[in-house]
Amino acid sequence: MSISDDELIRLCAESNDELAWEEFIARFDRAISLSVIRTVRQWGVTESHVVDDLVQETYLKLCAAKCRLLQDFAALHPETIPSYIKTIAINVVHDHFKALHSTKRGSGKLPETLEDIEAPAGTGSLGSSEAIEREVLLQEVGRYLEACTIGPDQERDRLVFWLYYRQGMTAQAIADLPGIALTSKGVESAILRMTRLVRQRLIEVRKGKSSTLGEKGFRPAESY
Amino acid sequence: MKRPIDRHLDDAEIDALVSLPQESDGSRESVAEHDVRELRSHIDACEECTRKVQMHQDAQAVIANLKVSGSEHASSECPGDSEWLQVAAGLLPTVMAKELMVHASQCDHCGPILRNAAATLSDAATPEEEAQLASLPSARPGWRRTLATELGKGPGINPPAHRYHKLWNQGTAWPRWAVVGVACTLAIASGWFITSRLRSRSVDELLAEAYSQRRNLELRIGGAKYGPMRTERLGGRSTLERPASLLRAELLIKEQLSRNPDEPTLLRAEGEVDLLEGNYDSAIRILKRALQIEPDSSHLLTDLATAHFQRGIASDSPTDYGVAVEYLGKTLAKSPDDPIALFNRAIVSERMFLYSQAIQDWEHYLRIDPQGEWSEEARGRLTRLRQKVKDHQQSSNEPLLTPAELSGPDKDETAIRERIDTRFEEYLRVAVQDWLPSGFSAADPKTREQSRFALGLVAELASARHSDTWLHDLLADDDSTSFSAAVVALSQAVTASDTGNYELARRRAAVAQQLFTASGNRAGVLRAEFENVFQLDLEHAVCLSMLGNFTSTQQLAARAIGLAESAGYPTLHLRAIGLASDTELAFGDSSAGWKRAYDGLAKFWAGNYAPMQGYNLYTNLDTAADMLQQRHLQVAIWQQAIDLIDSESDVLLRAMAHSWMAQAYYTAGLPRAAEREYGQASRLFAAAPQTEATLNDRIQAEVWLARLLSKRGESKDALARLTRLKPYLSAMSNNYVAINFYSSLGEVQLDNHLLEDSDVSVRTAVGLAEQSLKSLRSERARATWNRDAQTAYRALVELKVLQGDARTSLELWEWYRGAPLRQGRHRLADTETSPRAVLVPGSVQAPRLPDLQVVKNSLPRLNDRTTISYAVLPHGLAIWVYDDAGVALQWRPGVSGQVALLAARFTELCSDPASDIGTVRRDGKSLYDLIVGPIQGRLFSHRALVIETDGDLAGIPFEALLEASDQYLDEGSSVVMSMGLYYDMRLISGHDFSSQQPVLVVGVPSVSGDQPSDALPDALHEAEALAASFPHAYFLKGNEATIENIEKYLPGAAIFHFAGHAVAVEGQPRLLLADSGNDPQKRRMLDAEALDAVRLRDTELVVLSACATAQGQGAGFAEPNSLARVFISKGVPHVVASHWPVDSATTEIFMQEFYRGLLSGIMVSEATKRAALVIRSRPETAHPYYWSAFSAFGLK
Repeated sequence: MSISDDELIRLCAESNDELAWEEFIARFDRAISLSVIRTVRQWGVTESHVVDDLVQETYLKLCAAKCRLLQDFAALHPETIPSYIKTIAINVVHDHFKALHSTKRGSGKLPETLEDIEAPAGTGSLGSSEAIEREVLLQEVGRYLEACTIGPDQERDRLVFWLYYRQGMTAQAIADLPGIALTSKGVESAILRMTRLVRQRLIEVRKGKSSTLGEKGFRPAESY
Repeated sequence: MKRPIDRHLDDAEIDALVSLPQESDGSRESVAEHDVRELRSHIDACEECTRKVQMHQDAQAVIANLKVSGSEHASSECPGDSEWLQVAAGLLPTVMAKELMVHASQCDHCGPILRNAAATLSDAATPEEEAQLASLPSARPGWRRTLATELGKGPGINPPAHRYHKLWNQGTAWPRWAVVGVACTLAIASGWFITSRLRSRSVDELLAEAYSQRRNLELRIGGAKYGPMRTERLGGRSTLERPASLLRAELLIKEQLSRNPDEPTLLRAEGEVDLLEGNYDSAIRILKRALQIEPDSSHLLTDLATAHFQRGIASDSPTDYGVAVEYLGKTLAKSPDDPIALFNRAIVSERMFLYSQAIQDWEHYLRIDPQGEWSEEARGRLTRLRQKVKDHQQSSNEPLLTPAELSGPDKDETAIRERIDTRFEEYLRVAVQDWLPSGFSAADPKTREQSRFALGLVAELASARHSDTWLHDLLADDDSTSFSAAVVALSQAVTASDTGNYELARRRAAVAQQLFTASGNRAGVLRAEFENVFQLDLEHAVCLSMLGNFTSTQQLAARAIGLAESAGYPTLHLRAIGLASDTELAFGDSSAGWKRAYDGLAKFWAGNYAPMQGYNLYTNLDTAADMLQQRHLQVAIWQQAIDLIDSESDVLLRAMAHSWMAQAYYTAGLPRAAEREYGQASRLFAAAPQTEATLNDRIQAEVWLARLLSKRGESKDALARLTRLKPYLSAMSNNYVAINFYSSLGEVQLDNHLLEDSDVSVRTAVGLAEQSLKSLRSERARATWNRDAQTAYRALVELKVLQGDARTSLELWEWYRGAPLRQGRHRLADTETSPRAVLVPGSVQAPRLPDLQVVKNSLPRLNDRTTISYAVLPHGLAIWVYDDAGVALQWRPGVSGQVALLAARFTELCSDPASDIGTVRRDGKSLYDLIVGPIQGRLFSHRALVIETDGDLAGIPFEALLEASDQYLDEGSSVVMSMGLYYDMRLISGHDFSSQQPVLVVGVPSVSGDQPSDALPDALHEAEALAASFPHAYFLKGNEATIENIEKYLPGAAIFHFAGHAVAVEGQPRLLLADSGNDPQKRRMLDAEALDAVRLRDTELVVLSACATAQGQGAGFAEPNSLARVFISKGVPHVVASHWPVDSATTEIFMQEFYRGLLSGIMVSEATKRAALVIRSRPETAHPYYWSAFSAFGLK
């Protein structure tokens, strides 16, 4: 005996049953609140009453026009309803602060757009020696990855590697992305496997350079 | 294990040192933290590995430098920022999302945005986030309820929602905390009001509405309005089809169950939701749980019946239909006019081919609900059913055409051929049985001519329409002199076979075979051979079944079915099915036997068969129902069986059928109906040919009738009825009928307050029983004796109980309990008078009883134990308690029924690991109050508690009874179950057990060889561990565990431990052993009969670590064929056995603890108690199912 998310939404929309809404709140309130808390924080705000207001705004948005948004979505993508509700919560927060900022333009410190809330641009501006060095390294590792990954999942494995090392995503966050189809443990395994290969390749290359050029203390050595 | 310090690092160890991500579960490749210290110790001492690690660390540092240090500006290829939230949330098509992710992985502008979006959507919260979540108003139940109420107001939501919004945020003149407080109070109050209102009206109404909106069950549920049936595909059903009312009901039930998880009405509603959604197993589980809490609920019984019925349909399991009929029978026994139960039973009965019951129920239903849509449906079903039965009767009863009619001058040949073809099998049969003999040996030439014409017609049809050339071939070679004798012999064989005289059938078939061989008629030989082989196979099958050879019997039964089917003889096929069902039932496989008989009945009702064929199949169903103790179902089965044969000329058969039906009514607790049927049986017996057997049966029916009359207060009529029978008794040679008569007479006289007369009658009955006891030679014979004679002893004991004579009544009771020890050798000097003489009224005095002193003489020795002895007597329960302080008696008149019900329920609850522990404890307390409470003042924890059970109390796990102080019974004294004082006196408890004693350990983890589904690895571990702990153990494992080896090694063993499978065959537990080679005649089960020949003088302890090894044909170990009883009766002083199917893994632990205690020098009962305590102390096995499964039997 269990009601699926799409059935619950249908029930909320069609019956206006407070018990259905209670179940809806029990199922999704944590996701809504957490999304609101995190997004509000991105706008530099931490006050609880703001979070509280925006959580309620989210519910209003969800149930507007007999839950039309939810119902339409649920009918097509019942499996991603929780994620959809989170995106609505996140967008409610962004809309709120954008609107707020537009009324207070010039008077507050709130950032304008989503890009503004991200970390400042990297220090290595395009064309600097650090940037060029990093670009070379990225290409080198890219070549190693191309060379050492095989099989039907090679593209996915390379994607995992880059998201982990270049973009700094956690194994769990990568596993949660659509289409990855791995558990966090699976992601960790893939990273471990590819890291070994890349590291080994790097060592071999460095050893080669060392034996030729005698640089950086790498000695010609045994096989690994 | 410590790492060798001189070993070089491997890849995994290097990974550990350069801090790669670790496997989540710490798998083989990862290195534990404490091992890192050992690695570093090695590095410190190894230059080579130091260099390796350094190189890897350098390379890892290079890889770490790949990470983007900040966000770059977007390029022209970058998508809009809002896309990334959609990507992370999985809201874009997969292909597009993948493309974007690949871009993000290489883009230092988009990558961080994707990372941020993923982090925002993550379900995992940091401790700070958790704290903030907990502090939000939305975390409070009141807030949620109020918000739900606002949201639930539907259209026009915005204004009220904004009002609500303002309430929280803007307040008025009130401080925020005050607003919050008042609002919370209001919210809670309004929430309570709303939920209460919903609870009071909703669940049942919503479910009824859901049922009516989309009726997908043939059967009705309570309160539901009519809805037309909708046929749906099972599986793959869109959940969007579920009516909103059903979804709302689910929510309401969930919400209410969260607060009242054991509320039966909610559990029932939850079960109904499962029913409506097709989750029948779940429905049965939940409804059973509810029924355990509220055992008398008609509503629950009805729903449970529906769940079984639906599961029966879904899984093609006709035994479920039987369960459904039984539950509905129970409901209707309490509420005969319950319209829903009547409606449902009619449908279930129809499905079970119990058409008589179904018609009766529809008629009853329409009397109490004559109008409306439900009654329209009922009327339609009744009409169709009546027509079906009528058609079947007509087709079966219409006489076959005679040879004269077939060969007459004005015949319509086409019509005649069609008539023959519709009942071709019957014509073929009559051709063999009647027309062949008359065609070739009748004196009248015209008869011969007509018969031969008819034979030719049937032969032609058989060949042309059924590809059966047998009759044609047979008639083609009819010129031999021996042909006429051969067909007569064949006819006799077939006729004998039909009437159940299988031995004659086989002999006549053999003669026919010889004659046909002599005449060179190949077709005749084949048919005669078939009859011969068919009989032989079936007889062989029955013989093997008696020998306990399951596999071979089944194979032969299957062969007989195959032969009949391939030969194209539906009637024989049906009979073979019946016999195969018999075999399966004889082996205790009620499910297979049931299914087989059910399939046979489907054939029977679909074709034209003689009523007897159907009757036989119904008797099979009755046997199965009897095994499952489904009394109401038995009633329905007999109704149908009787309706089939009530027009038969065999009066005796009909009389017997009514007698069986009366018995079914009686055991179903319907005495009035039983009375009516016994009356009918008695009349039919009187009308039957008068032989001694008929007279016996008639007297039995009359005796039952009298007892029933007496039970309902008409004791004078009952006495008169019995008195009228007295003259007949002197003509009888059957002691059992006389015993039954005199003990019943004694009971009825007691009901009439004729104490002295009653005393004479029951003493006469006991005298006859003691005489019969002398001649008994087997356990089986004693079981029969006990069934018939026990009433006499019980009546005699009750007389003494009513006189308040505690010791004499106990002496008599113990004397009766010890009767098996007197069997075959006892001489009771006072009853040496001829039974005929005893039976002539007034000819002799009733026998005097022996001067019994066993209890009296034993009392002084009972200084370390107290015995409770129970006796279920005709009018109540007697409880004696005795020890060196004397004998005390508690008489509880009229409680036997209540005790039986409670005992059965408590035992069932204990034996079900999923049962609610609160309910188990509740019933454990109630039962304690009933059967231990009255004598608890005599119980002391320093004494062992010896319990002599009886009747319905026999299966109770006494250890799990709960005292008022919430202590289990075995928390005080150790508990041991005893067969009675006479048995205990013969047992000699040896010295303390030691590991140096010779032990026979038998471990049979699987009974089906290469099929692992029944494998019990725990049993094997248990046996291996035990064998290892006894230096002088002889271990028979797997294939070595044959009956021959056990017979060989058991006599020398002080301890016998069996770990493996036990099965119940014909209600008797048997231990399953390995096959004894290829000889199908050899047993592979250890049972009471197999133990007959085994000497057990030196065996001090037997542990039967398998399922339900303490049970016998009834419920408990006192039953004749309980293995525990058999071992004790053969002198084994201690037996440990189980009450129900046990959990294999827990049993292994139990046995470890048991032997640990035993070898530490404590008593067997104490070791059992301590092992139970260990199991009980583990939360996962705290349910009595786990720890009270095993009991100690014999001496303490």
